[in-house]
Amino acid sequence: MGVMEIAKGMGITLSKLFQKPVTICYPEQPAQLKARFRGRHVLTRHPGTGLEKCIGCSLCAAACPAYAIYVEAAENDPKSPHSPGERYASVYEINMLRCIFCGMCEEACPTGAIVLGNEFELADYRYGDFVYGKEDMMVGTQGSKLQRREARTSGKPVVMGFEVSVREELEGVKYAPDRRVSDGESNRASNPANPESAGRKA
Amino acid sequence: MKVTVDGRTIEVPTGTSAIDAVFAAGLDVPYFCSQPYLSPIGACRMCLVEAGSPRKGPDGTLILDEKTGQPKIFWFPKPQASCTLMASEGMVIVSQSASVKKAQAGMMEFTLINHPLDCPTCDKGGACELQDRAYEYGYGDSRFEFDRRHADKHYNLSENVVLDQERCIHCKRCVRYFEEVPGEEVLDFIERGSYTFIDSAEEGLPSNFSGNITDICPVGALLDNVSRFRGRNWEYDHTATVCTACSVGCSITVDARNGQLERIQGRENYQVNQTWLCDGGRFGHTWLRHERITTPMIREGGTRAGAWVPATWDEAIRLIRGKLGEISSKNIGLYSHADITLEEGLALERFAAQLGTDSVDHAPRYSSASTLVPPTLLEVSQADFVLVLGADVHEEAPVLALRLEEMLKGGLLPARYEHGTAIADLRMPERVVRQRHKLVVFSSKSNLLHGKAGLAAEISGASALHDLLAGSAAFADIFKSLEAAQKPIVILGAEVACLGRAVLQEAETLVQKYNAKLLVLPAASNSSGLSHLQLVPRGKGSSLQAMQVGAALVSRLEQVPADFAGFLMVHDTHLTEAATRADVFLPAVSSYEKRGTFINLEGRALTLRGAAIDAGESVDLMGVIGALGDALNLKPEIRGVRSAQREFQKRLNIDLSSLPDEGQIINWSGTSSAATFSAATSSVHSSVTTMWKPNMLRGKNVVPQQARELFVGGDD
Amino acid sequence: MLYFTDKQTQLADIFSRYPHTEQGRRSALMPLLREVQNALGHVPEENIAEIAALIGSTATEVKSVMSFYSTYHTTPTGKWHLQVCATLSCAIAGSDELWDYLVDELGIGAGEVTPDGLFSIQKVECLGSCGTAPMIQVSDVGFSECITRRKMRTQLEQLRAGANYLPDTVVPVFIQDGQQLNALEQKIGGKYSELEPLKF
Repeated sequence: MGVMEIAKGMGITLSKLFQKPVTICYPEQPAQLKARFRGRHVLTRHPGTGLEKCIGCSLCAAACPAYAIYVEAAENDPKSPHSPGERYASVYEINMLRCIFCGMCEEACPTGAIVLGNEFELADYRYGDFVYGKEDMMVGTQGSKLQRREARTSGKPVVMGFEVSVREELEGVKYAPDRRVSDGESNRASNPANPESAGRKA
Repeated sequence: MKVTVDGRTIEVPTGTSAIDAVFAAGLDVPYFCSQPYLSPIGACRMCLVEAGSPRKGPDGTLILDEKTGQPKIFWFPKPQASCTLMASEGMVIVSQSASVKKAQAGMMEFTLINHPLDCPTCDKGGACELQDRAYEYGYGDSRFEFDRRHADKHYNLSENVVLDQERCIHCKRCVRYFEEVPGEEVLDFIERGSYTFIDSAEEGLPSNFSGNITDICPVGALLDNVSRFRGRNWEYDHTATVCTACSVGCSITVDARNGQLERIQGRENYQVNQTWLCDGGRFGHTWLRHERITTPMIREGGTRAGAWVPATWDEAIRLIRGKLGEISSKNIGLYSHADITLEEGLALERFAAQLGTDSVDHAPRYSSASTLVPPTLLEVSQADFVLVLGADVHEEAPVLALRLEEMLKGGLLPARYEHGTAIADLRMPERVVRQRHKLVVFSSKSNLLHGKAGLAAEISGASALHDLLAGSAAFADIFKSLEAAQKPIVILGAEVACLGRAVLQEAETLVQKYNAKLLVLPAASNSSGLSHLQLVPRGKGSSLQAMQVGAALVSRLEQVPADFAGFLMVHDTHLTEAATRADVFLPAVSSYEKRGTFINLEGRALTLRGAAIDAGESVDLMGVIGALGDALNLKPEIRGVRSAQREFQKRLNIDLSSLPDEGQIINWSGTSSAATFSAATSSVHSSVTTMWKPNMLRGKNVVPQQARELFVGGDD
Repeated sequence: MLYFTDKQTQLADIFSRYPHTEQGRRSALMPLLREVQNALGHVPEENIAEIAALIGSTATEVKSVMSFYSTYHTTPTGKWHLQVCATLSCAIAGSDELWDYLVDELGIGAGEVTPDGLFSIQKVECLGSCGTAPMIQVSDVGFSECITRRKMRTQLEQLRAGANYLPDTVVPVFIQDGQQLNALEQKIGGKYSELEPLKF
């Protein structure tokens, strides 16, 4: 190995010293997600009527290769329906430990009710807490079970550790507005480490 | 008769329909309106095939093709509905050509014009004939872009059957079913053309067999309301077993999901129930999941006044050991419901012998059983004269009533081929005139069979029997019919059978006089099997009514004598009335969870298989006997299904572990007979019974009419 | 109220036209329905059950037959029952507009009767007068053909004024003592009792 090669190699290494780093300082800084990132599921609602899109057909459970989904259906009360039509999901559970985030459920869903969202911070302490029910995934619910638990006890809002442009299938989903990126461009610079993220970490 | 189907020449019996010829050739034709046990009518037009046959010239010889010298095939100008086309000698059927496919796909397009696309919410989805056939034979697209018909999607035909009018494709299976099978025209088409829907003017489908239409509906129009939205078809664990609600022993499929029994459907057994079930057997299963107890329980503080506390089996056995240690084993009574399996019955018999106790009984049970060989259900349907004495067949053995209806229609059964029961047997017409003169019914209360019989009266079955034997002149017509009949059958119901040996003797004399067969409707589902075991009390005070024992095991019986003061072990699924007085509660499995053998009223052994139902720590009677043996430091002779079946292999020379699907008639001659009965009293609480058993009413909001009169007290 | 209780001879006459078997009795269904409807204007629920019992069938089956034929009514009809043909030729010629006109003009929908008891309306399938579409049948009397808005209005006014309905074409429907009569009671053809077997 000659001197030239060493110099060449060092040159590449040294030149990187002056470039902007690729990695980010997560969780102090929000992670940049692509719009089609597959994270925690969201159960969407029909815009306008606000009825659940899910009709409890169990096709997601049938499509799930990891057997992570469990659905129990029931009949709508015509006076105060949960969903359009006769049937709705009275129990809708996904075991996030089993889920492999493949997106087959989204593909199987005939009504576009289940959509993989962007949340990925799903860490928790007990096995049982990884089973997400309907109320944990319904659109409008932000954060993992743990995040929401802590937000409840601390009295502070849930803050996402990521930024993403929300794709249109995720009807009605808005991740924490100050973190939302509409043009897909990074605005990391304008968004310094959120003071609340320290609280979330604790 | 030789028929050529798509180039394959096959041999089929005369009278075969074209659709069966196609299936016999191993090919497939889609169809919706045909059903093996109903008349073929060609309503859906889905089974179109091209067909042609050779023709004979004026000289009586086949017209030959000039070019080939072979018989010339004269084709029908258009595709034919193969279900209503009789195959003939030399017929050529084409079922797989492009034009047939086009005709079928076009028909499918018509069928789907008004069919809503709500498969995801439809309970039939995944097991739907229309869905499967549309996938296999449809275009996958429609040229009809106008609005679909909108109609009532939740129309309750009865408490148990719900109709979705939008999904109906007018195949007419349900309408034909009611006319042809139970002979009760309670459902019919209303309106016409594309507005047609099915409806009933009678309140709540007054039939004991209404649930069958949910099985035969090829789409999701008629659905089981009891299992509505309880699961999708692919999520159920299907278990092929036998219904033990009555003594007919219908083949059923038990569908469980997540360890819960959700649905029961009929399963084909040509010999027994064809594919039909009664409503009690089909819908009467919800009791099982309401307030079921699946762990042993003992009393707090050890007294009967104490509250129930859950315990482990070890604790329960320890308690039993402590109590039974003070009691002589001869003073222990073993009592069970008569719906236990043959294997459990044998275990009970052997364990009672081991204990040396005379106090062993099963209930409900008549004091005497007939020793004559009963007719099979097929023989009932093909009898030429049936005399029913003191029976409400529609309630005591409901599916037997369907066999009687078949008998009235002439006893015509669909042919059987290698591919199964004939899909369309053209010998079975619609609206057959019932040969009512073949049925005579005498019972003290008017029932549904009275309306079907040529001669019926509200007189007690026993007195009718007595007069028949005495040769009363009033019955001259009946004697004539009995004498003329080749295959007469006498059916005795509870009203007569509970009267004891003397009356039974009279019936036996009567049938022997006319060379008839005698069918005594058993008191409970497995009575005819258990009657061949030593399961009757032999000593004084050892019967279930007296129960003069120091300790008793009572398995799934609702009541114990009020003055019983001994140690009471109750083995049941629920905290019943008997259980409120128990010292120990041992959880029981239901018949849906058991493995074993069941003997039906014709003496046919049928196999029970356990469904995937979460029963916790529940055990069957053999398990309880094992626990008792444990407590008494005895090793029961029969400890499992297999050891019981080995014993039966010795006794009957029959392997109960590998019975055919349709069951097997057991020949009991040479085994200990029912003669032991004569000394014992009957253990029947009431001679009246309904399709809805008392336990089926637990947790039910609406009590069915028949049952209401019996158990809850009717309007009178 | 049962209809046939005091009309046993009439009943026997109707049943005598059919074979004396179980199936034969069922054949008397349509004449029995016609009898009740002629008398009451419609067939009420209780008479459906009555007829079902008479022919040895169920109310479901009677209702099935009744609903198949648009000529039988389960609800009361007005003095003049206007039956608008809604099948293809008439639909193309404007039967929908005619129907809307009648609904507006009379203020009733299908199955309703005007407060004065004069009119009721019903959509029916083809009445076989496609060449003169759009057309209506008025009660059992006859057809009004090539209807225009003006013609309909005049006719309704006349009927309201108590005039008798004059059809463009009369309907041959009645049988009296075995003789077929049209709605104007003119004889059509011969009597069935006078018919003779064909001779070869």
